[in-house]
Amino acid sequence: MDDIQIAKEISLGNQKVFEDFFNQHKLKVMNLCYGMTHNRDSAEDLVQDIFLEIYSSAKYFQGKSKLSTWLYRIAVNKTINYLRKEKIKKFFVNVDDAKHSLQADSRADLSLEEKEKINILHKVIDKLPSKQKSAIILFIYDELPQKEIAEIMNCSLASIEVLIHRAKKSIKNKTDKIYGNVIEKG
Amino acid sequence: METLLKKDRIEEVNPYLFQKIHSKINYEASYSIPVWSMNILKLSIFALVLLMGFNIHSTINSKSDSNQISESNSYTEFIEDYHFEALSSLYPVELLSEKVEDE
Repeated sequence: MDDIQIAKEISLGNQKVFEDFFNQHKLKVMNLCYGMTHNRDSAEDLVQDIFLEIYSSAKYFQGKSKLSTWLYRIAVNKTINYLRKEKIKKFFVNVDDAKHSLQADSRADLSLEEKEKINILHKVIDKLPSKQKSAIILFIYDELPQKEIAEIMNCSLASIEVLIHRAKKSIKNKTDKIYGNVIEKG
Repeated sequence: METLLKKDRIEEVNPYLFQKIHSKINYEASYSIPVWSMNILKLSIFALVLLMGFNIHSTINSKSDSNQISESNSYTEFIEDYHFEALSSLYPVELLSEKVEDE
């Protein structure tokens, strides 16, 4: 079944096809949302919204790109919108920053040192410009090839290479400033 | 840095996530307003706005007519002779026209 057929079946309400599509992409979409928000609960809510959007908009899919590219494009836009809303919320309501760090702290599979380093990385990634952040998350958390990231973000391959390079450099500089060279050595 | 972030990745998703999405789809399908009723609602609002527009337009026009009359010479003459009539409910277009007919 090709992408257009899958989209058509989803738009017609074929639950089996929709479930298969969900199972195929859930982990990558979840990691994209988690990488952007650093919060598992928010990521789960976003995944729900993204797949609901896919379900209701599948009839508009024209096959100009791959269905997965279309899905990631929706996912990136939804997550960026969510982060914008959260930023506005934080402006009006004093949100406890400690909640942010609890996400990595609750992971049993990570050592204390790793948790601490990851929390620092989360904070550094959050300070990156929006495009750099999306590109690095898609590259590291989703392990997508740069060509696909370029399609998702509607940029040229060269500009994605630059975005990822700058993001890595910026993360390294900032983490080095905070903890010397601790993270790189780790 | 990359190694650490890869360790931070989520390896499994809530197994009930699809059920949640599925129940949301069903909920939205049962409580969503049909397209035709939304169209009727939109048309009604459009018609209401048009009517309000016409009403405001005609009110402004009638006001400008009465202003023109009150500034005219015939109105000044009329006011000198028929001061109390000018305060009546027929004020002023009807009274002016009656006066012209009488003459």
